[in-house]
Amino acid sequence: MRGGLPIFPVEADARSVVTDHLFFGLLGLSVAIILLVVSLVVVFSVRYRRGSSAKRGELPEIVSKEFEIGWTVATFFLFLFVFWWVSSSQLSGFKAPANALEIHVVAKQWMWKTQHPSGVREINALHAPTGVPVRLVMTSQDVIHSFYVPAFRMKQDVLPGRYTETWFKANRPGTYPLYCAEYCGTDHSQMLGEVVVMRPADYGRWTAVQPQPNDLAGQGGVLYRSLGCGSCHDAAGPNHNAPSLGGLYGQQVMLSDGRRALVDETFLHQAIVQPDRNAVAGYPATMPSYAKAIDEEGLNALIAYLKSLPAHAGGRS
Amino acid sequence: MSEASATLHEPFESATRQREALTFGVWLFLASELLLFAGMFLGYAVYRHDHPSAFAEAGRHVNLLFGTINTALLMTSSLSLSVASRAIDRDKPGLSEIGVWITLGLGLLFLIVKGLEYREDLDEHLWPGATFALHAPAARIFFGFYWTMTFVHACHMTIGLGLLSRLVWLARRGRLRANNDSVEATTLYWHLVDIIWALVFACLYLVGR
Amino acid sequence: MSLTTTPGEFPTADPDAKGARPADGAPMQQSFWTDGGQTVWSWLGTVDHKRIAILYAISITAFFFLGGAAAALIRIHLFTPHGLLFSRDTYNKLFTLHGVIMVWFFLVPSIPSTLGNFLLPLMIGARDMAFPKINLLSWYVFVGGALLTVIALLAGGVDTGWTFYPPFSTIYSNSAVTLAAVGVFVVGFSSILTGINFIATIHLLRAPGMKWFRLPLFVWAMYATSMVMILATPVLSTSLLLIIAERLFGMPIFDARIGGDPLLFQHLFWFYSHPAVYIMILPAMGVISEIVTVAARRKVFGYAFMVYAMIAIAVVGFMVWGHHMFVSGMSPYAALVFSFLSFVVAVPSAIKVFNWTATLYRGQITFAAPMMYALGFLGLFTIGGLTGLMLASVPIDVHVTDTYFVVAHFHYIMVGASVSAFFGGLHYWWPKITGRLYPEGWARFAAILMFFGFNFTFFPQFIMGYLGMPRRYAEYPAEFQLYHVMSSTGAMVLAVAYLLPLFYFAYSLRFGEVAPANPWNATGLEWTVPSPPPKHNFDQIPHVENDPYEYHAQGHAPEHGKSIHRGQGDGPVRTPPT
Repeated sequence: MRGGLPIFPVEADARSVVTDHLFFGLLGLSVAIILLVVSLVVVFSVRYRRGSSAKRGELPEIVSKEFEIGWTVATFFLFLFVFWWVSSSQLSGFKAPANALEIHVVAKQWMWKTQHPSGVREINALHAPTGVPVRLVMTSQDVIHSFYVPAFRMKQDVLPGRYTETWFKANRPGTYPLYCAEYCGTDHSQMLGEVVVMRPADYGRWTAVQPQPNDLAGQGGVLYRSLGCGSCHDAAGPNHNAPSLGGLYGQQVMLSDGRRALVDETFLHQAIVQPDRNAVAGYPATMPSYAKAIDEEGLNALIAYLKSLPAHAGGRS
Repeated sequence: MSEASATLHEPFESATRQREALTFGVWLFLASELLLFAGMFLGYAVYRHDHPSAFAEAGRHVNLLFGTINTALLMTSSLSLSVASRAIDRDKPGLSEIGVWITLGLGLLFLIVKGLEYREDLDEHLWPGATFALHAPAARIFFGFYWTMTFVHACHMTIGLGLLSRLVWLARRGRLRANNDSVEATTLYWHLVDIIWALVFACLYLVGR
Repeated sequence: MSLTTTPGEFPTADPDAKGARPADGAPMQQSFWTDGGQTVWSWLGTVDHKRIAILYAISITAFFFLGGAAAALIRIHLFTPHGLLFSRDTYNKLFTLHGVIMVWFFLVPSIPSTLGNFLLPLMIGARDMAFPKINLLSWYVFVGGALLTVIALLAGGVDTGWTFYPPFSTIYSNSAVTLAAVGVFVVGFSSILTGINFIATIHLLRAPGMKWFRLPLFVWAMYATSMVMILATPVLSTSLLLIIAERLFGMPIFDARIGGDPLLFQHLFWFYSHPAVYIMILPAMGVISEIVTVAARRKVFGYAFMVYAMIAIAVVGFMVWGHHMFVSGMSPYAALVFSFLSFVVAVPSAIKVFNWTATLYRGQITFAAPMMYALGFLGLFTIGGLTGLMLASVPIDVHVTDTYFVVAHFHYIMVGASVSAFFGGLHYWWPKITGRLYPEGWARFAAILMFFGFNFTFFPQFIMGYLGMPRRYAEYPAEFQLYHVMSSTGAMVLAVAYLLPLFYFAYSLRFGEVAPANPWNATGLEWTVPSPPPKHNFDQIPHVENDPYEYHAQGHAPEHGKSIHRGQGDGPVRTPPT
């Protein structure tokens, strides 16, 4: 943040430049319209004040109907154009590039927890490299929060019971404030953090010095074993009666009630904590809910592990 | 909507206008009521889409017999009240009074049956509390809707019974004919309660069977 | 009652004061104030729409100053980054109190229940509402429900914000959410009953010759508003009912732990709460149309378009609720549709602004206080509407939603525009309602003060919102302090501006000059009856022969306009009714 009176927020992401362009475009348009209305009102007020000598003859015929239709249509097309302009940039920027670095965010009253693929965990902070798209996969442990970094013009609500996503690609090293933007209770105003953007080399050095016993998938593997998932899911398991999990991520599966479902993060999350919800066809619905045995961070690790499994492999046990 | 009376009231200058206004007002109210339930039906539809198997399983635990009896009772009561409404317009207050009595009786019977059903549901631990009987977590949501919707509907029934009691009271004093627009208003309301029950019945009792 | 400003009292509309102290020597006129008795019961049991309007006016004024006091405390607290006065918890309860009271107990009922109730039958040539007893019932329901909520807000406190989002409101909040929600639920029925009454009245009690396209635009505004009230409010009732069921009886409808969906609540909630904005702004548009025409002494420009625009706003307004949820995890295509519809709904609003401006063209404009408020409305509404376009644009909304930018935007619409119009209307019809003229100089001063105080308070919030200052923060990073200080200072000015009318209205009740039947020389049936109107409005139901706003015969204002209201200076001049 600059010193003195801030007038305008820092642009630290390519999309923030786009958003600012849209904003200034609309701002210019708004100022033009306001000036038009205000000057008309002022001119009419002075010219046609009571008793002034201005001519008040009959309105020309054309003024009534044609004017009306004219400016209705003009307004409509102006707004249509603005809509097209802003929306085209919205859709193009929606999806994160495929090569994005995936970072998990878990929100809780009143704290942000982040998990890097390398296994590094942070609290109320997020370190990220410049020039690399970063995809955030977020969920909440309790109420609805919202992950807001003004410098990236980026905000996404974080909900319990599902994953929401957003992404950024920082282009300017620095430390930027992170706010919770959805009211979440007593200490909402203290649910603050910072996003530290570093050059890739610095980010690598930073990652290297963090205590990291295991990468995220590795931590998930530990959980997979300690929770005993393999006894049913591994081909070699003693109670093997459940789908094997290797290569499952990204596949379509047939559910027992005839629906098809895409195996994504939300699907895997639900399969672990609400196994009844989407029973996979061809297997007995015997899996208990692990909602009490594992928290959101553990789930992130476990899902990262499941995503890392190659096809036709059981667990790496 | 207790404004009705064929005797002319203050803002109106003709009885036809006054009756028109009452009927129109009741229709507006019914539109509003419909949206009150629409919110709940929407929620139900969303969750049923999200949790088809849990909803099917939960739907098998409500008592179809009680539900069917109640549907029959309510449909019949709508018939008897329609008869009452037509009768008063054709100047047959006696027949009309009988119709209102039958409707009142059937309505009461509906609430009694509903009460019995509630008792059985509680015995079977279908209240989504600590001792909830069903395994699937989302079954709790189904029963959340079950209790909320049937309870709100029962509240509407109770208000309807109050309106019917008023008609009975008017009939006993021989003033039913003078209040024929009240009969029509009550009939409209009662039909709405009936229609909503038909939807509730289809959503909560017939799903999963 | 006295002239004090304690909540619960509204001396400006105090029947006792009026009845007890007729102006020196002025003959005591037969009017609805005196006819029908002066006992407490003659007021609390009245079915006269005009008395009910006064009852509403007293209640919503009390709520306005209660909610306003909360706002003032909030702004004082935010003078410094760490907060001056309260703990975070208390702060959260305060902004909830402010929001709940202002939205449901002041803004939604404000113009419809007071001016609408008073004027609607008068404007269409009826003796009363279609259902006078229902009208009274709706006031009791309103006061009953509102008191329940206010007890919850003051005694226990509620910390969810006025939006009641689960799962915070259902599982995590330990405050008096249930009671507050029950109160708002009850108040909803008052809204519905009022709406039904208005629509039935407009349909069935128009005087002979009062065709649909001869209705004053204020009546059309009431019609459009009532549609929204009838069709949107029940959905709010549903969403609150589900919250109550979950808190009170453990019905886990929004519990994400078992597969419930908190977003469902947001959809239901905004399906009401976005149209609710139109419940607040449509009546304001109606008031402004009345004031602008009489001040310019011209037929309103494009009457038919003004009507269609209001209906279009009411209808399309039902389909834009999703723009409150762009960052909630909505599909980008759904966001696109809601964004598009939000642009569409802005078109009729823009048309109305152009038409008001065009009404001034070739007029004989005077600038009495109501017109000052109307011009203020025009500016603030335009700013509020244009920032609304920015918020309808998804990429910008993603950045500024849930920041002070949004706070500023909706205050421009709901307070800047709507409350300005309410004050404008109150001044405009004050002589009709009370039979007294208000002091013009003070009124103009208050109007100007309100305009500048408002901009001073809320304009800095646009800037800090774009800088990233999130809303509902009890404490804030120091870099935003300058803007907060500006905003808080402006709020103090605004508070004075809102208090001023309380005093000069009270003054005018006792000492104001007696108003003639038609002080503005305006058209419209309400000006054909004495001021204040008699109990039964019209001795003879009028027969309407003219279109509204016939200020001139051939489509142009008179070459040398007659004085319509005031002579020289601020001294009130009585113009005999035409």
